[in-house]
Amino acid sequence: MSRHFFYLLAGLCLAAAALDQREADRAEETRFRPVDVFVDSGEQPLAAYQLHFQATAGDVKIVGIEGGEHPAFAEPPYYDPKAIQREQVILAAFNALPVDQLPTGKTRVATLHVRIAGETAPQFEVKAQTAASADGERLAVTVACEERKTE
Amino acid sequence: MNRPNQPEPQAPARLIEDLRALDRRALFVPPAVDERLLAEARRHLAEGRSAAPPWRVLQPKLALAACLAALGLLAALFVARSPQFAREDLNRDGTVDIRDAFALARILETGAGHDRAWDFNGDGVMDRGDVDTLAAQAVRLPNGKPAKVKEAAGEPKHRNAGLAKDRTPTPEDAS
Repeated sequence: MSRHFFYLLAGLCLAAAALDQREADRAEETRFRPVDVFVDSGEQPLAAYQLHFQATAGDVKIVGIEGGEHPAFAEPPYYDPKAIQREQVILAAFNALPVDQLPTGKTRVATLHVRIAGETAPQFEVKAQTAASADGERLAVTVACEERKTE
Repeated sequence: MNRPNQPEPQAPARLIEDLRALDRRALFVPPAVDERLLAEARRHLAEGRSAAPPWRVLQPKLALAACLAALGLLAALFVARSPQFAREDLNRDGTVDIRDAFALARILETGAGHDRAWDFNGDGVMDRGDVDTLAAQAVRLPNGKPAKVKEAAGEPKHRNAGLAKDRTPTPEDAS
């Protein structure tokens, strides 16, 4: 009787250890990464943009959104707070500064912080919805996003 | 049976003479009779005019009503065919996006004009808060509700005032 009880106890301990190790492995698999979002307006000054960002692969959740590198878009863009803890978001911002204070070419307009879980490599997709020049006219832009390499 | 060989019958000479005398007599008609006859004739003609059938009396009104109805129908068709824009679609491009918020911001900055219809947050004032409300609608996710725009009292108005100004969660928060 006591021998059976010993085996049962040992088995339970082994199972608990295995579960604990699995949880630890899973915690190691979860990581946070910044994803930079760029807008390229060519030679035209960029005064406003709106884009749709989405994670198309992997277990990805948006956990934070911050502004870009250029002073005109340094503040966080407009977004739906419901996008937090989800895999997609619409970002938009504008600035009515004079033309010479607006960015041209490729500029980082926002950075998204995402939580990635699991081993599936995440994939991101960003699509431009609209953009405007300083006079409010529609502007053709290209958009891109890139997971920032961290040490 | 005709009897052509018999002579025509002749009227008596006295009768012929009396009839000729009758033609030569002047017939006197009193003026009162003339006036009465004239009045009777006028009354009869007036009765004839007013006794026209009702549909003839209503005919011009019916025609006018038909014209108005036709005009109304044409106007309804015109309105139905003309594109309907949302109130928030300031630039009338069929989409509510950040360009509409940008347009409103430029209007407010330049003071180009105010329209009560642009009071999107319903606070009775057209200011940066309406721009933020419009932008919040532009970035709303398909199954999401419009983001609430917070406005702190005494806080200076920033370019991205409102929801985007709010502190966003960080990885530390999530962990």
